[in-house]
Amino acid sequence: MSEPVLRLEHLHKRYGDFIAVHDLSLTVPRGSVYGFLGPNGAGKSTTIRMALSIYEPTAGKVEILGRSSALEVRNRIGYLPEEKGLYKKMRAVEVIAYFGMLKGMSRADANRKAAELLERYGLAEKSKVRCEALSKGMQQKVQVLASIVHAPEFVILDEPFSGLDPVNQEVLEQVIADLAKAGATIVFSTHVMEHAERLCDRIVLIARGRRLFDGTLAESKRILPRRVLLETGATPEQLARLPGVARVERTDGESPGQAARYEVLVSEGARADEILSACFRSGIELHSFDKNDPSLRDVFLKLVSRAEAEEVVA
Amino acid sequence: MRYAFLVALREFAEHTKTKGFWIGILLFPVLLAAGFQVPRLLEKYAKPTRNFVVIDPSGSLAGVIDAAIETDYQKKNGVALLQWTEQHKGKAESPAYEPIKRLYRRVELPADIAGSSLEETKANLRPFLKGERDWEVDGQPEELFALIVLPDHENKLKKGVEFWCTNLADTGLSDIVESAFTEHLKSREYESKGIDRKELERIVRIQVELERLDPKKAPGEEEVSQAEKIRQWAPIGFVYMLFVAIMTVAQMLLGSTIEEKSNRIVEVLLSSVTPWELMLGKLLGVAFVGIAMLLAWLVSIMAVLSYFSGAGQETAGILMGLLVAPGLIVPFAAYFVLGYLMYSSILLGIGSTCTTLKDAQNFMGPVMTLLMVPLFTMFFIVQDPNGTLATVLSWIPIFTPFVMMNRMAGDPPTAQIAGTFVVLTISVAFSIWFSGRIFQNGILRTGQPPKFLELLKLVRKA
Repeated sequence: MSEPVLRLEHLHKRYGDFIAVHDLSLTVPRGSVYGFLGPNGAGKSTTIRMALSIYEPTAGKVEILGRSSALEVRNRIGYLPEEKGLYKKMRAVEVIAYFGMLKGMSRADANRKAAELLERYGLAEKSKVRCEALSKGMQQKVQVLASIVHAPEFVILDEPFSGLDPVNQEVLEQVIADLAKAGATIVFSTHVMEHAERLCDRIVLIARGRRLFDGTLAESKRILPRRVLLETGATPEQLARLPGVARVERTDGESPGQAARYEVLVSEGARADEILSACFRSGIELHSFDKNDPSLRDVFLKLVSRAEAEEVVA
Repeated sequence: MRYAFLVALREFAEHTKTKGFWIGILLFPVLLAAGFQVPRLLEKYAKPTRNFVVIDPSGSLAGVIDAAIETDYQKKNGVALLQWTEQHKGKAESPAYEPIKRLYRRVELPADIAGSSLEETKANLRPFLKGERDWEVDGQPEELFALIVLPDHENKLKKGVEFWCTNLADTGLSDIVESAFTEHLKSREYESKGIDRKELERIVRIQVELERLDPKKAPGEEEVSQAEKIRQWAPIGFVYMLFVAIMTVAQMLLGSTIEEKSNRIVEVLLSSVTPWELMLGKLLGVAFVGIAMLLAWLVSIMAVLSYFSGAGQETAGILMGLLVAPGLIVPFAAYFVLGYLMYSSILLGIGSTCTTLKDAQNFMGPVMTLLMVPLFTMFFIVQDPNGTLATVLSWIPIFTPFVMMNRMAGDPPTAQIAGTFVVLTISVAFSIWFSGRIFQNGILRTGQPPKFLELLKLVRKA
């Protein structure tokens, strides 16, 4: 079981002069929910397509479920492409069952499972409706269900959240959580960090075809210094003298004599609660103390802008 | 293979589930039945009675027209009566014969329209002739179809008859009038020159008739019958059916490929099946659609034909015999399959590189133009089924199915049948292979359709 579900080694993809993916390596451990993050045009979809043997990499190696080609294990994989479409004239339940059969299910099994999925995710009354008559959000849900109807052990969803309203986004998060609970490994790409933050164990961050970060969610947050938000009557100089404080910045306007708000950057290796106890020891009166972990969004912006800056320098 | 079959099944269901498909299938025999029935019905009901006015200053020439129209009517009625007798032969109970409708009716010029001069009368009649005013006949409003102005003397007949009418297409009445006066003048001449009319007509009717014999037939059976002639022309029907069927299904295939491409279903498909399986499945699925369509046509055509051959239509009976004889139907089936595979694989290759139907149609243009060649040459080939044109075209694989079908009634040499068949089969295999390579690379392509050279690159890359 320790064998990774997907291993990419030094993957390259170029179209003429354009480099879509550059020297990308990553490993998706079994049972994880893995986020492919990156701005538009970062090379996420190209990487996914190479992983699925839809595109041939220019150089590098793909190993998926222990094989070198996804076609050999295609029935164990579920895939939702970035650009979504359905057969307009087919009914929702038929489409889902059809894709199930293409993944090796028997007709009876596929039909039963399709009806079951539609029921579970609130589309039961639409099962006999032709796809062209479904709203865009419903179509997308039908597609997601079509990609997982055969209960694959490895699911790859390319931008599954795009175009969904908040209610349906929540349904989709539920789908992903259910899959993870059932033991499937899930890779999904997105440029909306909030979904990744809620769902992922591990993330890889890609920009301009290069890998910027690969690791657990917690590791990613360590990239940015942690911050503490304080409200106090103490002066910035007093705060700066405390152990574990790297830098102090006032975040509201200057109004002497009153309690002020500060953003305190925690120095490397220190913990936020050490600052709290240091405040007590030095008799600094706190009106509020807020441990403010950087969001994935902050990490993302930081890494992407740094990569872009490096590229300009290079 | 199981996956190709699944793709084929879906493809088949998608096309045969639409109403348009079945309407198209049913329309064919309906049109055929109409071909037998409509001309008669039109004659009977749709054609209006043509009212016309004759201005005859001499007072003696209008009778010639009346007599000619009566003769024409009697002749047509006689034919109808004969057909009716044939149809009701041996039936105990049959409705009484209904004489056919009179098509032309001379009406008198009402006194209030007649002017003091001929010119005035003509001017008064103009609005009626132009359809701006209606004419009263037996209390019913009717259109005035024509005005015939005769000269004041027989001697001026040759150039002096005016025929006023806005309808240039229906020449029935003008033909009758023209030939009536021609005959009238001729008999006057015969009489004045003392020529025996009967004798003259006998001489005019003398004609040499060739006995048409077919050297390929056994002695004693060489006579070429009506059925033989129809058999000679029958391939045209088959070629046409082949053309329509292949075009219809090849277009379906192109349409569904573009659909899958333009809404990117193809990417999901390709994560489940290989491009080859997908292409093969689509080819097969649509082939079944085509076969279903042809079977439906053949069955319904047979139904129509057997109905009409029962109703005493000789042609229908002969056509029926041709349909069930293996001489034409077996090659038809073979050429349908091969022709279909040839054209649909070409279109599939093309379709896979285009993102929109519009792009694909640009590529379709040249293919369609090529396809017109067998249609244009269809009639020449029937007349000379083993001539140079037919032979040369037979060896060009994209034309082989149509041209060979076209020649089938002319008993082409066995060596040519076998030879062209082999060439065609090899070409079909090559075309599927070639398109498969394009398909493999083209199917995920987006954006602009490729240039011709790029197409070749796609083939090499695969």
